Amino acid sequence: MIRDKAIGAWQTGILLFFLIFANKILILPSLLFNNAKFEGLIAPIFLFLLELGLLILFYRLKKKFPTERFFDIVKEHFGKIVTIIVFIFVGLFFLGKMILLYNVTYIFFRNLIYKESNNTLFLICLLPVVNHLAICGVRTIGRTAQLFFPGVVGILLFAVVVGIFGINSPVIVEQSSFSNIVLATLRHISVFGDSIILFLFMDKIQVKKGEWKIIFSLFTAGALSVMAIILVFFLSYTYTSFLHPFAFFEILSFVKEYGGLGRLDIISMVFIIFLTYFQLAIYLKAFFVCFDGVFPKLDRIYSVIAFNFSFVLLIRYAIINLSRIIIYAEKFLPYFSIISFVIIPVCCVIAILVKKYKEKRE
Amino acid sequence: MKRFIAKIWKTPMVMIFVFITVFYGFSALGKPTEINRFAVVTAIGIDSSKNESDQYELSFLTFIPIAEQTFTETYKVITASGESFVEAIDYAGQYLGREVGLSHLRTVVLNEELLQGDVTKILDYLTREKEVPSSTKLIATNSSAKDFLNAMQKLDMESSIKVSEMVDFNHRYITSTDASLETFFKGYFSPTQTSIIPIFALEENEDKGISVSNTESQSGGSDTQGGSNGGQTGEGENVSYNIVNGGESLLFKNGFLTKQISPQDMKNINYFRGNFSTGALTIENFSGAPFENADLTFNIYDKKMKKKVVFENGIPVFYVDLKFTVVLNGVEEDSGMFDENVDLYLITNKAAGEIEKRVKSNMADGLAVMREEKADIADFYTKMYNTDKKSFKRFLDSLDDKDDYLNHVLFKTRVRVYSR
Repeated sequence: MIRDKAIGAWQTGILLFFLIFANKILILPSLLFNNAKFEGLIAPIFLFLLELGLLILFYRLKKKFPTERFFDIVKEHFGKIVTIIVFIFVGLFFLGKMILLYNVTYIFFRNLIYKESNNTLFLICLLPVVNHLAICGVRTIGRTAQLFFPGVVGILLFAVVVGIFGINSPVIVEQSSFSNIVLATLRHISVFGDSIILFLFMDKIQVKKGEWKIIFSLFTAGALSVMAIILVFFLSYTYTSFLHPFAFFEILSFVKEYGGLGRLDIISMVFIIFLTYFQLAIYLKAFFVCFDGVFPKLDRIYSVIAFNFSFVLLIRYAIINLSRIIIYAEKFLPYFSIISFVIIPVCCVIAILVKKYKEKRE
Repeated sequence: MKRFIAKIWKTPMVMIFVFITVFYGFSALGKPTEINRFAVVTAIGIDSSKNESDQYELSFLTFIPIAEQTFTETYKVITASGESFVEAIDYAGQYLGREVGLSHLRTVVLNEELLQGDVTKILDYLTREKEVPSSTKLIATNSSAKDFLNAMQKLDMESSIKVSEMVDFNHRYITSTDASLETFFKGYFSPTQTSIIPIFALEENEDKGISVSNTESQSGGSDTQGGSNGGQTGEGENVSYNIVNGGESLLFKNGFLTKQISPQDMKNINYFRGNFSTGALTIENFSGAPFENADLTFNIYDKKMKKKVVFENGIPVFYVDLKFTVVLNGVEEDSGMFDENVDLYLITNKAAGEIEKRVKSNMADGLAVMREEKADIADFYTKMYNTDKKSFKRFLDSLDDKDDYLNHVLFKTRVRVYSR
């Protein structure tokens, strides 16, 4: 079995940066506009603030428990059964997020590049690499992500800047009601809250004094980038934003079509495929951590088999077209967000308070 | 070798790579090449079907890729009709023996006769089909769309001038407008629900426009007969057609055709829209040093536009401030050829005043058209709404007919003219 080595602040920050884009830059902007018009932009701002809260909570928890596993912290405070239940749901949550991410990316590529591709071909191209990365461990994912990071940032900056130059028409603001904005926030809450992955890997994360700002900066940069993509998309397509389901691609496509800058959209495809590999690998690693916590005596091979079997079955029989994905993402998955935005924060707050109380007593 | 195999065996990623290469690589080699599978459609013409059971007759200007050593591109016009858009496309593919590829679609031509109903029903498929670029140009024509496609094909063959490029260039001139699927639907889904499509006329023996020699097609035959390549074969007589991009446009409100806009009206409206680069401004019978009773034509060299809205007693007052930098291009004097170089002519206050008066008068005419049609072509709505949402909503609520808001908004225009 490959030993999972620790990662530093830069690698943690980069993993977080990559993860921030998951499920947010293709279908989400179009759905937000559909739900709450231009004010749909408020939903991700609010959800990123919640996510920042999770990150701050992680920082506090890591300070109190620098070397412990999150599983052990929860077990110590809530007992084994509660911990196992929580980890089962966290594992399912990440499996659900992987299914969403896989489906959206698959449909994106099938629609826009290769209509003849099928699910099997796509699975063959993705699953081995993703499994390999996840089995190799957090450090391998982090180091590889570090290697691709400059390229990803370059493409991102290019897309946003070029996209800004493509904007050419005004849009009406304040068209949507407050309830629509709240509804949009709740419907899409499940695509946020990825920071809880840091809790799962917390024993593998070693941040030196003064390096926390790297993680916070990369998180902020990622969140701002996602916001910039959504904003540029809204301003480019204005009232027809809901007709264009692949936002990041559509930004460059808009510039290509109206600015005549050639086949820029290929750049966005490269960006999306690289991000998807890393995002799926990180999610899968989180699933493995949960599986190992629930079944500590089983070897890694069981978690790999369990994942691949359930993933392929779910993909094959449950979700494979855009309308089903949207129902799945908007109506089913948001209930799981209670894990990331309620259960885990509550567990953390209690653990921190108990630790503080114990320290005071000592 | 044994060691090599053992090493690969221990490295599953290499095995997977080999598997993908062997399995998918060879299967890809066995498939027909894309140029033999696809017919690349560059323009679609939409007419109403002559067959009662079918809804539309679609004509496809199709580029069929053929491997050859010359640079000649082979185009055919294929016609098919069906109960729906999708069915007609399927028939076209069937007639061609290839798949109809729409990813290179550049122009959609609508027969004017089709536009009496809701035009969005016709365009629905094209806007939802992911392959179709949203920048695809949208035009209407007074002739059959099929004939127009034949003329387009001839024009391209004779001169490499493409109609899509002509539409694209329209935004440069004050007297015209361009339109694409995207701009049409942006207008349709916006609060003003207003869109514009330019008309490209196909006229026989017309003086203006760009001429295309055409062999008159043999009419007749079943509508659903594929491969009717009008203008390609048959014993027809040579007729010269002109494609006229005269600046005429069609105004749509909520997807329905409401008015045909003349180039002069379009010019008047475009002063408010501000989406042009150049245009001519003429003042007639101008007398002032050094001219005497002269018609002066100025070219717009640069323009700047500022819009501002102020609510006074609950009524929006819309200020439009236009600054033109102009160049004197033409002088026509009764006394004959003007004998000075006008390049260095510095516009006088009197001439500037005349131009300003002329532009203001044109703007008033443009506003009258928009008011009459209750069509906010210049999108004043967005500016007023974004300036003060509450006041604007109160203003709209105070009106008996909310669509008629333009008639109740006060417009104040200021035009300033400078020399280059």
